[in-house]
Amino acid sequence: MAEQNGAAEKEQISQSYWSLVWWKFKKSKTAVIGGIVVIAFYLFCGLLAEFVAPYTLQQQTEYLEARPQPIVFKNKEGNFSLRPAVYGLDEEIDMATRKRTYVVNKENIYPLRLFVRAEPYKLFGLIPMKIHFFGVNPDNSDAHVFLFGTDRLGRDIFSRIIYGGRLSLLVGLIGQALTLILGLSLGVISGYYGGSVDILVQRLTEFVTAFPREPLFMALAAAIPPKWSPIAVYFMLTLILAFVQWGGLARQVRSLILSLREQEYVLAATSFGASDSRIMFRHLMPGTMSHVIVILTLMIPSMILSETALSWLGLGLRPPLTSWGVLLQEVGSVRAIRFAPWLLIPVPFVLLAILSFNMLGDGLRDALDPYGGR
Amino acid sequence: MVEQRSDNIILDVRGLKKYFPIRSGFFRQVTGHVKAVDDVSFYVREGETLGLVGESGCGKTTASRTVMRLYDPTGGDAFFKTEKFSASGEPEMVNLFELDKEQMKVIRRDISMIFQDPVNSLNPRMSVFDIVAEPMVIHGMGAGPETEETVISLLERVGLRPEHIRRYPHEFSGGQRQRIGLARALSLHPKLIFCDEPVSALDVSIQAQTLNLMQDLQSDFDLAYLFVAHDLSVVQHISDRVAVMYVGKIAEMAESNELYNNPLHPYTEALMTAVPKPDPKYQSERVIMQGDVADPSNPPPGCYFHPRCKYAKDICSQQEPEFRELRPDHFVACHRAEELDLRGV
Amino acid sequence: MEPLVEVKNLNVEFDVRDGIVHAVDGVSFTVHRGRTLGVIGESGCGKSITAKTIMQMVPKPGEITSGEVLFHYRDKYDPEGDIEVINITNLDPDGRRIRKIRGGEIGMIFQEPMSSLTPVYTSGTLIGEALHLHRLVPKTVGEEMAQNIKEYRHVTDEEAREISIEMLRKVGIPKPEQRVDSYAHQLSGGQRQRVMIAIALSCRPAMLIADEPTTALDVSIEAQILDLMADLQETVDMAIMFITHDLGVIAEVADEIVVMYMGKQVETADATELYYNPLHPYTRALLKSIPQIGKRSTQRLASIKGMVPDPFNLPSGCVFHPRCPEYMPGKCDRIVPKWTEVEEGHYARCLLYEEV
Repeated sequence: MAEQNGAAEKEQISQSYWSLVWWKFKKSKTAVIGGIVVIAFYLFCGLLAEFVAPYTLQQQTEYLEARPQPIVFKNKEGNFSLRPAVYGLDEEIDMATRKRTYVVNKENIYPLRLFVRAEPYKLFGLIPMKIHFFGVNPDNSDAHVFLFGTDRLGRDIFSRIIYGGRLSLLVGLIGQALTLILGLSLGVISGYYGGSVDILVQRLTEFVTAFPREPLFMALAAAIPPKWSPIAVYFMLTLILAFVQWGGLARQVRSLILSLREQEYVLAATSFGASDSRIMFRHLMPGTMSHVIVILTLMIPSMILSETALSWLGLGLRPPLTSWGVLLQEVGSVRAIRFAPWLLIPVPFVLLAILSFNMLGDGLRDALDPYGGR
Repeated sequence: MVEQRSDNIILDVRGLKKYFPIRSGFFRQVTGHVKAVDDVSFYVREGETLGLVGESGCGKTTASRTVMRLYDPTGGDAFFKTEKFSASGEPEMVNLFELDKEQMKVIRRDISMIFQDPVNSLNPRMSVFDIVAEPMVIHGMGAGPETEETVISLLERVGLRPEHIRRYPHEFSGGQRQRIGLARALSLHPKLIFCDEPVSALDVSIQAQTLNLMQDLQSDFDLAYLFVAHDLSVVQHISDRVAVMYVGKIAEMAESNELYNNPLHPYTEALMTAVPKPDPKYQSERVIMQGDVADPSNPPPGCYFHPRCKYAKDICSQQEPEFRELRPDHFVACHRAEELDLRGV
Repeated sequence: MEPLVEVKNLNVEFDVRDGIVHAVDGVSFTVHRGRTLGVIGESGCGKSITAKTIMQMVPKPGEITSGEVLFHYRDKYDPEGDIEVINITNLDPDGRRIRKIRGGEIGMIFQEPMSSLTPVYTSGTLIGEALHLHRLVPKTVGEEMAQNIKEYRHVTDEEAREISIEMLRKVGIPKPEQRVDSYAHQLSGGQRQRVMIAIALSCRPAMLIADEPTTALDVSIEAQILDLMADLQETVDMAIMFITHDLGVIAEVADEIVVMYMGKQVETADATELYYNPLHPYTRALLKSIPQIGKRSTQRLASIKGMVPDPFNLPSGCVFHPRCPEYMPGKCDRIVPKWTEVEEGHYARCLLYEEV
């Protein structure tokens, strides 16, 4: 959302203003790194998940709860090579616990290859393709690569994290789009008209924001009929998240509008007979855009976290839909942590995504505010 | 001022009042009023400049904005000469305060405004083209490529270059921004422009340019100006007639030279002698006004000026003076106007 | 006339993203004890920076690249003492010495009286703060002895309050006993400026720098403040450096006038001489471009053509040449004019008065 807004505004606003913003933004190293990571997440998880992941989402292998394979730089003969490879895994039954485990078999070395042919998929849901970004020799049916191990059903966790990121990150975007529509329009109307409209909107936002967030989420999420399709549940969930979020944005937009509407250019427009909607949308709203972008960027992490938390509690997304929260739901027991700690690998991804959003948002705030064109 | 003035008057404001409520307490109930403009009457002739001077907070800006219906008037009438609503096509006086929103929008083509702050009065996120063309767009006259030609010719008329059309306000200096504001004000071919302190934020050398430009535009387009300012020398330079305001009321109104040479109100005298003269040899014999401007929410009884007036008598603190035409075209609100012999500049 | 502050060939540069701005370029003048020097110029001409340099308060990223500011220091509690010449540009901007001079020897008042008074303190506290820093009172050992001992101590809180009330009375604030406990927002614009003056004068500075002190005020209040400053100057024998863009105000207050344009000093002369015999075309144009009250004519104002140039991209030669009515092609755009004494005590920077 943030990127889209930025691009849309760029066209109507002076190049020199945006070049100043860009110059200030570039000066902050953390913001640039955050921005790159965020873009990478949306690119690799959002758009190209099928291509990046070596396996498809539900593809099951015979390796159940296999540990992550270490990456080594050896060729098939065991000599050093720049091409990374993984050792094969051999199944073993631990006699003490009667549990199946996997040990690394250093005899089998599967070199990793780029652009291998594997399971067919449709890129962007349209283009049928077979090429995956990386993988092992597809002709050898024994060869496998599980960078982060597998789950109980033998599904590759790395692939599932990539796919899960798509839904988790998309919650942020779709949810923020709804927040934007609700918060911005109500904020502008409330700030511009003032009086009883303002009081009404203010009380409404206070009402919504006064609820303790997590119980409200849970109540609303629990109210979703179980018969609904997972997709419907997903959209309902984003709607709920947006519904809880918009109040904060509306308030900040309102206070911005209150100061902007005192500017003489608003008076000037009124004196030429401009209509209320023209003043609100042509004169006042563009002035809030830079702040809105920042607020939205800084709000996305809490949305992602809420989705993750709800799904982890089993109130959010349900399989077969896969998000980071759903992945973490599988680690809901001590047993899983004891015997398959690699199932927790989604956590660092959640942390990284949230950290990057915050770094990007902070950088944007510094770059856009105070408004440099004055 | 009761009879209808017919001699080429374009704007005739009578008994204009604008009170702002003071709210306080938990329920925000109205506990008083700031009488920003209180029973003000003035008129502007076609093609002339009426200067409206006074110290800050005297209500001069509020008066012009209320006539423009940017604020809702508390009372009074404002007659504007227009042919827009007449069946015969002949211009007639229309009371602006009785028009509805749509009718007022039609009038807004004939009256436009320029503002004091050249930074704030232009939307920083709109290009010069968008700013100047906006009034035309609002009135449905801004379609097609000829708009750009119109904007360019307007820019050239105010001394800007055609290539400025794609730039943004912050790329211009204060004087140039004021020119953009002028181009915008002219875009609908108005008959009357309300100028709210148009040069007070500008540097001395730019002030002169802008004033000259405004005079040129006035004669070219036969414009009338209502020139609101606090700088007495600027107002004298540009105005045909001048009205002096003090705490929401007009103290004196007369033809410019008449007012500056033969003031009838003690406030006018004090104000004019207070202006520093650009002449080191000039020994000022100024009438220093003691104290501060009266509070418009709690004005003194009688004449609002009496606590600062050195000529004040008992009557001044008891009775409010009437705004009357003492000499032809010379109005004053002072009990002692006939007997006092005041100095001009 | 006794010199108090001598500014010699002062240069201040600002190194910003778009390049280097020469904010003050070779400015020289002398402020004499008990006299008023007026500095006039349009916005951005460097007049405020010059004033701040005298206080060693150049805002970042500005830097004094050359020149000196000589302050002729005399202990005000020892009028017979020797005069020590201090070069202010050599002092550490955060050091003890300069902090003694700021406020104690050189006071300053600003244009915007609302923002220059801290809103959370009463006027009494603000004056008291300055008094505690800079004002000394004789140690009372005995009436006669005090005169001989010449020992001083800092004021106590009660004394500070008394002096504050006295100062407020002096600057013409009604009911000073009550006003001493007022906050900035309870005072009117004129009263705030009076409090500013009271703060600046409470420590008996040898010089007062007034940076556009009346610009934000109404004419009637402006007249009051100008009168007040003239009265105070007579009673306390203080030099004033008066910075403004208003040619009327400066004519009224100044004994000597410095005209600045784009960081350069273009003309300096006695006030009457400058107004009646302006030498530099910029000064002439400026004087002609202001409408004069009481002299209404139907004529147009003589305006200066063009705009103030971009400080990053100054014109070659004389910086005023693109706007100058007496531009000499081939000369003014090539040769940088020198600071010349054209008539006695009347300096200008213009090629009209140079043999080239």
